[in-house]
Amino acid sequence: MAGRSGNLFSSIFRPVGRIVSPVWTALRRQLAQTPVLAFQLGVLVAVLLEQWQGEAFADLLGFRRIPRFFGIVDIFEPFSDLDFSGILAPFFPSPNNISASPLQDSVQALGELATTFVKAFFYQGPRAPGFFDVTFRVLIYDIVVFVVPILIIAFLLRPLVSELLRRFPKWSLILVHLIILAAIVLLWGDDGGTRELVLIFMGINIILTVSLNLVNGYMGEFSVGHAAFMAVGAYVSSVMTMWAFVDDRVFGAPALDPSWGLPVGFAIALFAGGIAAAIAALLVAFPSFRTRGDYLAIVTLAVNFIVQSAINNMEGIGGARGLNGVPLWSDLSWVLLTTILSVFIIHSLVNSTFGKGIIAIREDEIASELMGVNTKRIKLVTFLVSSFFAGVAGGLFAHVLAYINPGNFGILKSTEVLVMVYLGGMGSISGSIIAAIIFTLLLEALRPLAILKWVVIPLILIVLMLFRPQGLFGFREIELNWGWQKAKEKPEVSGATAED
Amino acid sequence: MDLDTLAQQFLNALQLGSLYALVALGYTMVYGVLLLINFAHGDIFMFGAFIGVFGAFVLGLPFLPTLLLSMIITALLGITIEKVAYKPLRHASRLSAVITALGVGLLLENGMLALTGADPRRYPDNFFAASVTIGDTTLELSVRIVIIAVALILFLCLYYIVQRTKWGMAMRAISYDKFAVPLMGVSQDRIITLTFVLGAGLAAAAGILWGVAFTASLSPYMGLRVGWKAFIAAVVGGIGDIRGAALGGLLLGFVEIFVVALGSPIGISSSYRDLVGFALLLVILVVRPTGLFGVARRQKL
Repeated sequence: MAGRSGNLFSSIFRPVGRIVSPVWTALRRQLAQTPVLAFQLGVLVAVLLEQWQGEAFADLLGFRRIPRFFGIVDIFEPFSDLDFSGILAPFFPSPNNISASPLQDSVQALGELATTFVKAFFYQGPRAPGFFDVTFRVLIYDIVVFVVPILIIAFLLRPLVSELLRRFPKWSLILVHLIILAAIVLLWGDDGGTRELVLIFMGINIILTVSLNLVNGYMGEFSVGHAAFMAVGAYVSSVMTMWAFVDDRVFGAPALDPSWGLPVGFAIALFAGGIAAAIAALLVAFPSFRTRGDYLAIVTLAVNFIVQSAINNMEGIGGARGLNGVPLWSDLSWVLLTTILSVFIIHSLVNSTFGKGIIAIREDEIASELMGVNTKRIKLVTFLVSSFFAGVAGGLFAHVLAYINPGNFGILKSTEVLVMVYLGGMGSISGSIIAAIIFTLLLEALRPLAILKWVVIPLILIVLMLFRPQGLFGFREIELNWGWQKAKEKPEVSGATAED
Repeated sequence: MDLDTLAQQFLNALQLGSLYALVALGYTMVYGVLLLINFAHGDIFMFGAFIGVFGAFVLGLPFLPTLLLSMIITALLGITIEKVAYKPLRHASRLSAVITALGVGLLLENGMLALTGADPRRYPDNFFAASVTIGDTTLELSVRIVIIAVALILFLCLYYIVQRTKWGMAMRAISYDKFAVPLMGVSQDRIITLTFVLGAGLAAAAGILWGVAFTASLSPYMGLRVGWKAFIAAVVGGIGDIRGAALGGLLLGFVEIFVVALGSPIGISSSYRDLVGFALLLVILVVRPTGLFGVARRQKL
C-alpha cells in the first residue's frame, strides 16, 4: 500500500524529507545511545519542574489549570457538541416523530453539523477555544515542560549514567530503574483525580493485555472471553474484602478487624481472586482443549456469557443490580506494584524453558509434541496463569470503582482487551504494554465524543488490521538501550503466523 | 400447563427458533466458504431491520416489498463489507480477519446509533396486517404463523440454491476444498460474493420478521444478543452445514422458550434462559466437538 503513494505526495514530501531526515537520523542516533536511566532522570526532573512552575506556565498559556494528562484529555473537548444523529434519523423515524420531508431535514442537520464541526476546529466562544488553539497550546506546554527538559537532562547525564551503569551489577540497576519509575509515577500521578484514575486503568489494562497475549499471542490460541475471568476475580476479591473488612449493606458488619484490611487483607483478596479465576479457567479448559482453533474461541465466548448471566442470577451478591460498597483500596501504588509484578512474572515465564514450549505449541503443536513437549500440561498451565492475572486485574478493577455489576464484564470488555492485544502485536510483551497505554489514553482522549468514541475505535482497529495485520510490534520486542551488558542472546523462533 | 398454552409455547418456540435459524444460516455459510467467523453478522441483521423502518415509513411500502427492499440493500452492505474489510485479509492470518469482523460489528452498531439517534423505533401498526381472502371468507393469520412460514420458505429457497443449482454446487465445492476448486475454473470471488449476498439477505429478512414479532425491540444494539445466539445455534448444529444451522436455531429456540415456560412455575426466573442456552452449547461441544452435523476436519501433518 505504501508504494502506491502518488507523485503529488512525494513531490511535496521529498524536499521536506531531505532537510528533516538527516536531523532526525542524528537525533535518533543520539537517543539510541542514551540509556533509559538518563531519560528516567530527565522525566523525574520534568515532573518536579511541572510541580514547581507548571501552574504558572499553564496560566501564562491561557489554561485554567494544568492540561489534564499532558493535554491528551483536553484536545478533543471542543468536539463534545458534535451530534451526527440528525443526518440519518429522518430516514429511520420513530412512529411518533415522523418527518414530512426527510431529505430536507437531513440536509439541514448536515449543515448544522458542518457548522459545529468547523467551529470546533477554530473557535467556539471565549470560554471554549477551538481544537487547533488547544492543541497548539498543549503542544507548547508539553514541549517546554517535558520534552525539552527531558532531552537536556538526558543528554547532560549520559556520560555519568553510562559510567554508573557499567559499574554496578544488573540486579541493583533493575531495582534503581524500578524505584525511579515508581517515584515518577507516584510524584506525577498521585493527584486523586484524572491522572491517578487514568494511570490505574492503564495498569489494569496492561495486566489484562499481557496476560491475554500469553494465550493468544505466545500460545497461538484464540481466547475471546478474558472478561469472564476478570469478573470472577473481581467478584471473589470484592466479596472477600467486603465480608471481612467493611461495614456494608450486603454482608453486614465486618467479620474481621478492619485494620487488617490493608495491606494484608487486600493482598490476600487479590490473590484469592486470581486463584478463583484460575479455577474457573480449569473448568473451561476441560471442554475447550478437546477442540482447537475456532472452537476455543467459541467456548471462551460462551463462558463469558455464562459467567455474566450466572452473576446476574446470584441475588446474594447483588445480581444484576451489581455490588455496591467495595472498599476503594486500589490506589496508584497498589496498581503499580501489581502491574510490575505481573509483567515480570509473565516475562520470566515466556523466556523460560516452559515459555519455549508455549511458543513451540504456537508454531506447530504436533511437531512439538513429537519433540517431547508436554503440550497438554503446557497449554493448561499457560491458560491458568493467564486467567490468574485476569482475575487479579479484575480484583484491582473492582476496588477502583467501588461498584461493580455484571455489565462491566461483558463481551465488550473482552473485545477491548483483544483490541489491545492485536494493536500491540501478538507475542510481544512490550508491544502489549505500549498498546495498553495507547488504548487507555485513546479511550480517555475520545471520551468527549460520547458514542462517536465507539465509532472511531473500531475504525482504527479495522484500518490497523488492513494495513498492519501483525499489530504495532508483532512477534518482536522493543529494543531499549538499558546500558548494561546484554545476556547472551539466543536466536528466538520468530514470526511464523500460520494458523492451523 | 394445559394443551392450549403448550400449543402457544410451541408456536413461540418455533417462531424464535426459525428466526435464530435464519441468522445462523449466514454465519454458517460464511464459515463454510471462508472459514471466517463473521462477528458482524448480528449487526447486518440489525441493519436489515432498520432498512425495514426506512421502507415502511419513508417509502410507505407494505410488508413484502419492504422485506425485498431490505434484503437487497442489506445484501449490498454485505458485499461492501466483504470487499472492503475481509477481502484484503484473505491471505493474512485468520485471526486478523476475525478481529476485523469484531471491529466491523462495533462500527455498524455504534455508527447506526451515532447517525440515527436513540429514539425508540417500531414498525407502523398496519405494517403487518396478514389476512388472506379466499373466495368470500377472509382469514386472519396469526403473526407467528406467517413468520414461521416466511422463514420456512426462505430456508427452502436457500436449500434449493445450495443443493440444486450450479452456484450452490460451486459453493459446496469451495467449502470442501478451496485450493482445488478455483483450479477447475470456479471463480472464488464470485462464490464468496454470492455467499455474502445470501447470508446478508436472510439476516435482513430475519431482522424485519424480528421487528414484527417483538415490536419493542428495534434498536441499534438489537443484533448483539441475537447475533451471538444465532452464532451458538450455528455452532451447535455444526458450523459450515446449513441443515445444522437450521436445526441448531430451532433447538435453541425451543430450549429458551421452554426453560422459561416450564421453569417459571417452579421458580426459575426467565433471566436463566441465556445461561441455559450457553450451557447447552458447552455440553454439545463437550459431547460432540464438531456440532450435530459437523464433520471433523482431520489435522494434516
